[in-house]
Amino acid sequence: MAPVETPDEWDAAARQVEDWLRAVGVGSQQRCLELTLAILKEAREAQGRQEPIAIAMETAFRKFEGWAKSVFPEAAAERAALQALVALHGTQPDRRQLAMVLEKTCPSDFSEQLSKFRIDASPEIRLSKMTARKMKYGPIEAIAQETWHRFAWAPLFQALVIWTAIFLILLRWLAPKAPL
Amino acid sequence: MKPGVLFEKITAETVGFRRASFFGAILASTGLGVWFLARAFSREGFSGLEVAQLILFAFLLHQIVTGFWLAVLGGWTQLFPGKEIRMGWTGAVLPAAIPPARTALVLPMYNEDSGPIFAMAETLWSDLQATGRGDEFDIFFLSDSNRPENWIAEEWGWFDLCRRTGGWSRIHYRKRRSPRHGKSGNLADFCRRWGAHYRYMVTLDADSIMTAGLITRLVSMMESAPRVGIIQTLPYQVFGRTLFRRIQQFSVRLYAPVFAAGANYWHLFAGNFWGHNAILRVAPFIQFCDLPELPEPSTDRRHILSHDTIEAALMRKAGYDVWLAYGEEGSYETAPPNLADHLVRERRWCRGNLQHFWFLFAPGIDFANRFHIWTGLMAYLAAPLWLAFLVCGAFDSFFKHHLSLLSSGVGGMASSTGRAYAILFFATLGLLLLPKLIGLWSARRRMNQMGGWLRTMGSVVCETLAWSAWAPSMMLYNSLFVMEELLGKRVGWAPQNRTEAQAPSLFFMLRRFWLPVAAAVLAGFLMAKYIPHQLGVLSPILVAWLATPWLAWLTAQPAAGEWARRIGLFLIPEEIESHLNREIRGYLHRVDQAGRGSICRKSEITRLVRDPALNALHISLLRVRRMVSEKTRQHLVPLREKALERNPAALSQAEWMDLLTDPDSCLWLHRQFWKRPTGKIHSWWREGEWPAVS
Repeated sequence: MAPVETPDEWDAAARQVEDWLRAVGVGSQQRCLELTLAILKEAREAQGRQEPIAIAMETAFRKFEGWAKSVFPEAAAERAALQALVALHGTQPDRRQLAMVLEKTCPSDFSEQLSKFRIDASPEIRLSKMTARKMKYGPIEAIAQETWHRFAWAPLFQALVIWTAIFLILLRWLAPKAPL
Repeated sequence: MKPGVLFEKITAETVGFRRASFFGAILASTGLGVWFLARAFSREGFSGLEVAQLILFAFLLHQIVTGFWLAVLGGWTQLFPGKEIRMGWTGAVLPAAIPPARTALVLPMYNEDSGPIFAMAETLWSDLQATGRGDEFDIFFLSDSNRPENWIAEEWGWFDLCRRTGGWSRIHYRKRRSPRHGKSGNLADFCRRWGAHYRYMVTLDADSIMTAGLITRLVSMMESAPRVGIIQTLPYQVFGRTLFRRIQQFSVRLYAPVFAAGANYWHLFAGNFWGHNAILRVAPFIQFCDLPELPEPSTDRRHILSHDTIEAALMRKAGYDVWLAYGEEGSYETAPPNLADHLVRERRWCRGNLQHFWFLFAPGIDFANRFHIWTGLMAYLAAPLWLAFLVCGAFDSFFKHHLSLLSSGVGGMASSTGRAYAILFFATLGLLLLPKLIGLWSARRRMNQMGGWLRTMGSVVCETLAWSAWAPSMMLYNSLFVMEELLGKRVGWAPQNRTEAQAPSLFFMLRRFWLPVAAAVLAGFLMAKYIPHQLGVLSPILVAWLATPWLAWLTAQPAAGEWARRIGLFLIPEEIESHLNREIRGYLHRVDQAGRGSICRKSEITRLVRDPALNALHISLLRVRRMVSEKTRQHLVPLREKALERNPAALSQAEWMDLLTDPDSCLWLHRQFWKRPTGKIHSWWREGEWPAVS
């Protein structure tokens, strides 16, 4: 059985869709409202077991993917939507062009402007061989290696501790108790 | 050399004479000081402690003497500017190179606040275009950031910069997934992938500022001198608002030119590299300067952290020159905003410099580079040596005091040694203060740009007092850092805080600087009990230790810095308008204004999830995954749910990085955020403020 939705839920869905469209950067307030109503209408018709907000947003995503696919026909729908979103913000279209977002037919100049937009975060790779040369560190390396690998530190520390203790005891014992 | 570079030819005699003068002066002065102390000690025969003091004194004095002679030679060079041999540009206009020399401006980033970085890059980019040589340059932001909020801010910053400047395909952003070998690994990664496109590379730090004019001049210098591998500029510090920063930037502005001129006097073409604000010839850098591994037993200590000095040594080993272009204006950086952050940097640099020890005796390293390495080592080893010298002195005094009670003849010896100490103390003071006077003298023509004679003199007195007050604590902490390093304590390469927006509280400083206070109390007690007659002599050190937290707190305040600026203390030429620096002032002002108030917050993650454009950009910049393993999926799916439904701050930084490196998870988070009603998503996602960890 389909869940019983309330008008409040559809109001919330409308607000959500409108907010998302505005975040996408779809033209004017009027254009946002028009698109919101169209999306909600479609969502109501397609409503299944999902909540209104989910189905409305699904519809909005699908519509945007469909529009993006018309601009980037070679890309998969999801990828096309991502490319379109980046291109919309990268090319900084004017208000007239923005009003064409999610229209059934995108003007060819706008479509070309968007489809030509590429974000190349880095240029073409031209590999160079950069490898460290073997470094000889001289006698100090030999001494260090011998110290680390052959030298036993524990007896040295033990001897140091014992002799320091003996020295301090003698110092205490031999020091005059009062000025002579 | 082709025309354009300031010098024509350097003869072997010139190099020999200069080096002999410099090192001869150091040896003679150190020898004189040691002989004087030895003579004082030897009146009653040497004790073991005296021998130890003598050896320590030799090391400490040679360091002070080196600084003194650098300043003297720097002053000498400026007294006879006609005889100066330095890397610089004559101002000649060269015909354009065919093909034009392409230069990459590379900017490694590591969890830094990216706002000021992009602001600087935008200003630099537009100025480079205005020079008419803009086509020769590309910018690379090379990120190793592992905090999600920094990563996201960098991506959007780069995108926004390209959008505003139209620098698509010329301004690049690269985020390494695994930040292997830190900054040097990041640069090496750039060289391996894209180095072949470029003849030169200008390395910049996150806080570096270089003017377009200077960068084009550096390229011209490199073009004119094909034997030169690296030209290092002398960066001055700017934008200081806290008192600590203002004191530092004033000191650097006043004294650095003299010391740099002195250093250039002896090393000439065998200079050092400081890792940033420099231009490098890419081909030899790729061929010869990849860092070798250190022969350490533990694998995680084999990588060289502080790469610059070693890269200069390797460049010299390969037969290329390294110059310090200290006379070229237009190179800037910022300093740590307070003593606590200064010590964070010191901790990193300490490890880096101590690692260079391995190269001190390595065959094939140029003598000049060995001296650079030695100077870097001594910058940190001097601290424990000074501490040991003080402790030896205290013990010596204790024993002599006891002996003097046993022998009637000791009083005379003690007093003559005391006289020798006094003479040496004042001589050392002279060696420390004379370079300041030379710095003042050499800046005589710039006095009006630093607030006039009276204010500059006042600033010199205040900064001398301030450094004297900080020095004992720095000695204590640097000794600790050296000990930690020798004991093999692991130290990470923490990002440098450069923001002055939030001054640390007094409570924070008291917690941070408990060690000097504890040291003062303990040393004071022991001295009062065992060597009360020395308490007066050593009391300045005890007072400085006790005052450290308060002084650190006071100097961390932007209000204190602003007050000093208002009364005309610690002014630098870049802060005072004159016809000489209008262009640079304007440039710095634009960078400063654009970068202000930009703080990277956790809420960048909210933006990524909410904002369709940012989300799409982030996913587009991720590497496309061909297949996600079942194990990875099982790790990511619960994390996504946890992030949306429960407190998102409960996810660790690593978990967030896992989610944000997965394109499916990023898209899922975005779509679920928009699809879920308010009750099925944590309220924080709507409110946008990062919640407390539950």
